[in-house]
Amino acid sequence: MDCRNCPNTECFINKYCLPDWLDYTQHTKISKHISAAKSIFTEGDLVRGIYVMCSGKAKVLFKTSEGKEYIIRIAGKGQLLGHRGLSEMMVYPISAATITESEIAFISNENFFKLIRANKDLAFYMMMFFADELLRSEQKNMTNVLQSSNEKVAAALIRVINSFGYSNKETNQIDLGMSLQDLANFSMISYPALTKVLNTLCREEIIEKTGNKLCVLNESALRSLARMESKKLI
Amino acid sequence: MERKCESCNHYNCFINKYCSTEWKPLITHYKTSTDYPAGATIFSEGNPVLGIYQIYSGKIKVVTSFNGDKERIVQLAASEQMLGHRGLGGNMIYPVTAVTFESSQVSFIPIDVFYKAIRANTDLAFQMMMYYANELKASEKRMKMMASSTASEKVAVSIMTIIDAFGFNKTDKTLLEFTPTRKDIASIAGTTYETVIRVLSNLEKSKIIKLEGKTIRVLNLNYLKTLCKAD
Repeated sequence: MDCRNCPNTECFINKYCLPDWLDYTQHTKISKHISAAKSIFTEGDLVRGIYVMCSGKAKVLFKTSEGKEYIIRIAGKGQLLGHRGLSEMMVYPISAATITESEIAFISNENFFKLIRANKDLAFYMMMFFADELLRSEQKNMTNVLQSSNEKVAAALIRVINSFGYSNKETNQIDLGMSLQDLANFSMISYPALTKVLNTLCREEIIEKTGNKLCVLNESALRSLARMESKKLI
Repeated sequence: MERKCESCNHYNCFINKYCSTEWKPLITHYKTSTDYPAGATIFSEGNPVLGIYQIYSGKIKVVTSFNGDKERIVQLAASEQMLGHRGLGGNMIYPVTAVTFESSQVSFIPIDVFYKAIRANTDLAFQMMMYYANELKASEKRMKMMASSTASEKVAVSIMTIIDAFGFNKTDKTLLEFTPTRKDIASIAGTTYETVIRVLSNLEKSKIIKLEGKTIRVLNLNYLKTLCKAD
């Protein structure tokens, strides 16, 4: 995609950079087309820059020493990837992989820092973005112990909706992109527990499940379920 | 007491370090300074975020409560450091409470002034971003540690956290400048009071630290560091 004339108005680069700098980004970024379920970067890699999801879907994860996978974040089009590498250590603490086929733009640290210094809206956005991530990270870790399975799944679904949106606006079908196994990892519960919760949510007419398709029937109920546990911490 | 940002000698303060000379008098004009006694609450979990705090002097703990009555310390802060940045983002409600360890002087900068300062001073915006990035990393490292470390590792990390925040006594260079109560150390480590007592006495037996009443003296800093790196 061409930054100078990008149809994705949700992209933070597009939204917060001045036209001259979009031109600069177009010339300096490296675009990659990556097929589904491929690694974007791996834990321990040296951080050379940041990634912007131009299209597609990706997951950010870490593996425990037992090899269990935890998905800590998902990113859809126009969203940032690899910001956890930005810090004094400059080595990725996590890995990222595509969920679906994606176009990803790589912006080197040097150019990204230039962008931030030249575009104050971007600098402001980035600060607030990190503030949000810090809040969410601490909240997630604190609540994880206290949350019921229903609340965990509701919170995960809301994050999917926030990142990927709906694939069909009329039926409110969640643009899930990932397998139910991935959704279970993202919710930090087991696959059988996820199935059980989805059935409960169907019975309560909050969602509708046909095969692997999930449609939201009552978004406000889902949101309040997701928020219930974290009310104290938000 | 009123202090002027433009003539302040706290050179590590973000405002002093990264705001232009034109901006410092503006900050001075809009900020309010308050003297808090020991044990005072600066802001509480659930309060709306109205601004950001900068510590001029004193020592402060930032805590979050869970399960009703338990608390966990998420940050220790001293002179020249920022406070309340965890409130930015989300729905602008503090997820944490800040309480003074000792009498402290804290400046408050209203949020709209802080936002304007960020937009006007690119260095400040950039450094704030990097600051958050580091906090995020530190926070996640701490979470991982909580899940996997042994009790001695947790207590060792807590002692290092205290050293990083408050340092050593200026004249007696192995004595901690400030030692929080054993209960507070337990809240930093995410363990119980009894465990802290037990681990501290084990560390003393192996001559890594020495307990002098309430305060801790570090005899073998390197060993303490290796304990922390165990994960």
